[in-house]
Amino acid sequence: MTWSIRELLSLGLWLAGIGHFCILGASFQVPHRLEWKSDLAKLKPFNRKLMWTYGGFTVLTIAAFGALTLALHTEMLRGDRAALGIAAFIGVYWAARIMVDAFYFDHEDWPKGPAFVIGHVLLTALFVALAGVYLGLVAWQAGGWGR
Amino acid sequence: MMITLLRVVGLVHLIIVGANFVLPGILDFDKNLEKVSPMLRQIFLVHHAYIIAVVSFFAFLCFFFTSDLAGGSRLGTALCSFMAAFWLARLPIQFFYYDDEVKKKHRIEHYAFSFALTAVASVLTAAAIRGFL
Repeated sequence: MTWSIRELLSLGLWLAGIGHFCILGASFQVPHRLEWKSDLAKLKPFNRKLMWTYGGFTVLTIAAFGALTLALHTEMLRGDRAALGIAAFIGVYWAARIMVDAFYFDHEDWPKGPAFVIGHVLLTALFVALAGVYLGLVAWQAGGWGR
Repeated sequence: MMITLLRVVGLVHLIIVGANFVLPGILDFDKNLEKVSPMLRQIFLVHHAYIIAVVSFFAFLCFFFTSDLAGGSRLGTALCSFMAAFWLARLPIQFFYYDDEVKKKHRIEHYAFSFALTAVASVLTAAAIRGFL
């Protein structure tokens, strides 16, 4: 059985939509596992609240990416202009996240232990897959292969 | 009418993006973040950058995909719903979560931002509802 690129991208988009909700599963563990409460207590109250707000809106954005991908699966695969705009943004969002992890985070004071190493590897692999699916879709449509 | 309003919303998004570049100075991010671990400092700054990226994307959508957003298509309605939810969630945070002391100290900025938030959330909610009807 051979899969066409369209079928692979179609499956990739369904999995990418679900993948965003898997990231949320990890996101909700971050404050507790990285002991944000004690660390954030050192900040001024306003900056502390700003951090929680940023975190909350990052969660909202990731949930929306998942929901939009699942809801607009047909439009994305069909190559509608605005749908491709969203796909490009989501692809760049995750590609930038991989770059941030590789070149900005220094990881020195990150928690140690096998669970964290496995979690980090799995999350990074998921980010790579997400960036690949969305940017692959955009390249496929931009190259005219989707028509 | 909705097209014009959405372009204005795009402009407001750009102003919010601009304000986010000034915010670290006003709130003294550098000095404040010295107190926390490097890990948390980096996560804080990355979140800040990502929020700027998302709001910039909203501006981009409002300027370059205005007819999609105003047209009531499934796609336009989904995008308007996302943006409306984003700003509607931000409203109570501005009014009820952030400290009154800071809002009093930066009274003009608080009123300007609250007005901008309300206007943006209203237009995007109206656009989303139009799409559902």
